[in-house]
Amino acid sequence: MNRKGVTLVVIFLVFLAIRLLFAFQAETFSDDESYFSLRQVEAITDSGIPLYEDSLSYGGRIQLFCPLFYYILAFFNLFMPITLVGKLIPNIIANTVIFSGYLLVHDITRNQRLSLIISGLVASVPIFFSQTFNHISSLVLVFPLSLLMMHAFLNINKSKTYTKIFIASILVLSLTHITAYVIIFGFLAYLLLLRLENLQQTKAELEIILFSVLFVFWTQFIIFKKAFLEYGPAILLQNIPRQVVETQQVLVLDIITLVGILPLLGGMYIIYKYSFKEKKRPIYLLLAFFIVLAVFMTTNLIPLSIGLIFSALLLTILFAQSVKLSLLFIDRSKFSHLRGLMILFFVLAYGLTIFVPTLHFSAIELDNRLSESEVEAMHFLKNHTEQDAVILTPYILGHFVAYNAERTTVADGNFLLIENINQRFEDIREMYQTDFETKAIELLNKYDIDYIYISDRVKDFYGIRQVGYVTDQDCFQLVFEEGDIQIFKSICDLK
Amino acid sequence: MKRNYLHYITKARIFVATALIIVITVLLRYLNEGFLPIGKLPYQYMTIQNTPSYLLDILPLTPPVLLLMASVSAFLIIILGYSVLTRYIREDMVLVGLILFAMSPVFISMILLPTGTSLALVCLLLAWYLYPHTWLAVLLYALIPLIDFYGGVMAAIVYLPFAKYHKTKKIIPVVLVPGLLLYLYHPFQTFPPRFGITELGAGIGGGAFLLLLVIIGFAHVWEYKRTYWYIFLTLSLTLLLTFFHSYLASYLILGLSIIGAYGFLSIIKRNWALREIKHISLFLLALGLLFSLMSYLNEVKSDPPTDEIAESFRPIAGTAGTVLSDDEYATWIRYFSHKEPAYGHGENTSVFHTRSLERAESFMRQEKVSHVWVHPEMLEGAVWQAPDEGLLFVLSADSFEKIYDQQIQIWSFLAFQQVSQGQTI
Repeated sequence: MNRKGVTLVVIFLVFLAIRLLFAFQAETFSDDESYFSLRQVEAITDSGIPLYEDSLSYGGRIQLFCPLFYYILAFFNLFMPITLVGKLIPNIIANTVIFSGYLLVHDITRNQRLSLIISGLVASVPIFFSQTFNHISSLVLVFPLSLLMMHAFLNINKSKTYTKIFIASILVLSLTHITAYVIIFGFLAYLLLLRLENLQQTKAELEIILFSVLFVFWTQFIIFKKAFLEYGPAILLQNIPRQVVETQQVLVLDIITLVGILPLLGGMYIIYKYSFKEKKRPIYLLLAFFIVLAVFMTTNLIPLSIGLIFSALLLTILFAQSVKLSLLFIDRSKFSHLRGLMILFFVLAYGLTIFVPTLHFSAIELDNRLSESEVEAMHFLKNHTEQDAVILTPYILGHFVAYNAERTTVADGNFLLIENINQRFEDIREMYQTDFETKAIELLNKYDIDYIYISDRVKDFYGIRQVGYVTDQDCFQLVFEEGDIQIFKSICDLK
Repeated sequence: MKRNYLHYITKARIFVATALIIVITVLLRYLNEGFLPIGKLPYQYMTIQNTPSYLLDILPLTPPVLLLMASVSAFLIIILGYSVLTRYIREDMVLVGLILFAMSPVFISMILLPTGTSLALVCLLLAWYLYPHTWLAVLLYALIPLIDFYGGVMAAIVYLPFAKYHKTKKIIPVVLVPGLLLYLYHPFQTFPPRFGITELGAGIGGGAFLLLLVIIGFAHVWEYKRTYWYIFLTLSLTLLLTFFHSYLASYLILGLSIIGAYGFLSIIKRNWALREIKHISLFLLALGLLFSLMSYLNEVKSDPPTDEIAESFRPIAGTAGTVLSDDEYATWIRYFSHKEPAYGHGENTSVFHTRSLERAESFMRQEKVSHVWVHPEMLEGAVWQAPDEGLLFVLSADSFEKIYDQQIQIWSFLAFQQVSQGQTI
């Protein structure tokens, strides 16, 4: 291995160590989706197939999702305990963004040293790091793969190896996450940009895009056939309830800290420069993806968190070009003797604006992890409630309950194919917020709910101090209480 | 050796493949629901309700006869399509276009949902085929509006490219006028399914992969827009009309399949820079087209009216009185039970949601309702949300007796039965 390769591996290992250091500080995971992943991995390990017919989610439903990521984890689960698999493998996969980031930055800047530095920065983007170090989500595979695909696309004319890499990447991506369609729209937007700039696309580019469109269409139609028939083109909205969309708003200040001020400014400058002044194909490719993501995020066609992570990675890669241009500018100016000082300033500035927010948001994510009393409550539900009991929780705890308590839930974060989802979410909110006992019992009866789960997390989520009606001991029995958690059994029926 | 797959596409193979598609489609329907056509229009023909087909309204039709007629029509469209189109277009393109058409969901719906529109298309193609014998062609042309009103309109529209190509100034569409005028005295109503991409939930239309080929085809033929403006105009008008009357999708998709064939051939004949993905792309395309076909076939093979619906009407068929149900089922009620549906001029909805026995009985006496027919879909949100909501609560009263209790439920309104047996209410 040459020096460059060794350096890259060292960067990879350093960041992996940091990731694992954070990840192993918690026994639980920081989001609900991780528990959905664990259920799928266990199902695959046990039976060879994922839980497409899920009897616990929403009182029983058909799940639609791309299964490949869970199969990868299930493979490791054959010789590793599942919690170790959940902590280790997603972090290794997410960290490979260093390699694909390096390759893509090199395509743009043609500068090895700069590519090595920026590859480390790509891995430390605050929103990317904090949203992936203690989470088991198939998205950790999507981001590095997408960057690798872009790299292969940009070099498609050079060798057959890139065609193979591209084909392999799109194959894996289509079977990993529904957002594979973003890639297709990104490539189509790239073709459009080339047309607008009077640049001719190469034959190979056109052919690989045609292939991608065919392949992604094909796999998505097969996997999400039912949803396509149910929603038509509106499947892109993924049946996300209005209430969830409304909570997705992010302030500009948040975007600055989540993406990092330097990549944001540097990336935006490059977008401006190459949109209006200069023409450079690799930058047009990233620009096309950035435009698609911006449009999709504003129209709610992609969850905001996914769009922001993707955009942040692209901006950081574009930022590399602005660093290159800045260094060239310094070299040509009268301050060329201050080059070293400028680099030091840049590193310090980066440290402050990137590493500090990364550490801050990661600490927040660690605080967000499910607490020991929450896990204890799940053990209670699993051991002391009826097997067919239905538990009321907000959707952010649905998979957590299904995995740990093995009990039926009213809602979780998988919204596809759920009928009247807005009404259901409104009803759940009402069950927590209403002061009227009859209304609450009517809704509890409607969803056949047996137990009401109340915790500080739930109260914060709905902005309430307490659930008022549970004080009526004739209808609600307190069956569990530990720390901030209470579980009530609902025993009344409305005649 | 350069492989381009075109030598696999021959006339005989296309005809055999079409015949296979037709046989498999009918067989699948038969195995699931018997020889029952899907949709409402075929049952309108059979109950002589005013349909857009004067001729089919007056013919004595049965479900198997309709299915047979539709299957033969579908096959004739392919044979005549080949004979007619090869006069104007390269044979390989016609063959690819026809197989794309035969593999499209609209072709399946032409078989299982027999309408005058596809019969009119056969007549139109036959008229074109016989064209040099003008008098015979004109006679067939004049027959088209009697077979289907919209077919008559389409015959007038597609005459434009025909006349432009043959440089003829004979205004043959004039013969359509008497037939079309007939519909002033023969008003009709249709309940066409939603037109669009079938993978996205449309009831009738084309598949997504055909659409993709059409886009590629259009990208190639767009440069001829000035020379062949009349073809683009005809297609645009057909598209516009199809949105109003989705059964015209068969005309539209046939035309688009030829454009799609252009796209397909351009992919095959293209000198690929990445040879390794050429074969995978073509394979994916073929699988995609097949997927559209299979997916649609799988959906419509058990589309209503089902065997269960037909069977449920057997106990009440031919008895006195009307049947109260959701308007959606009115056509089938009329055909299978030989009774009139009671869909009460806008009041129906309120009857479904009343919990007042007095009000429900009053409505039923007024509308001479003898039975209430409830399909499971009505219980699952189409009419009611909860098991004891509205009229469902009323039906538990002594005035009603459940006489059929499978997935479909039928209640007898006892007061009506007493009246029909000579007692007073």
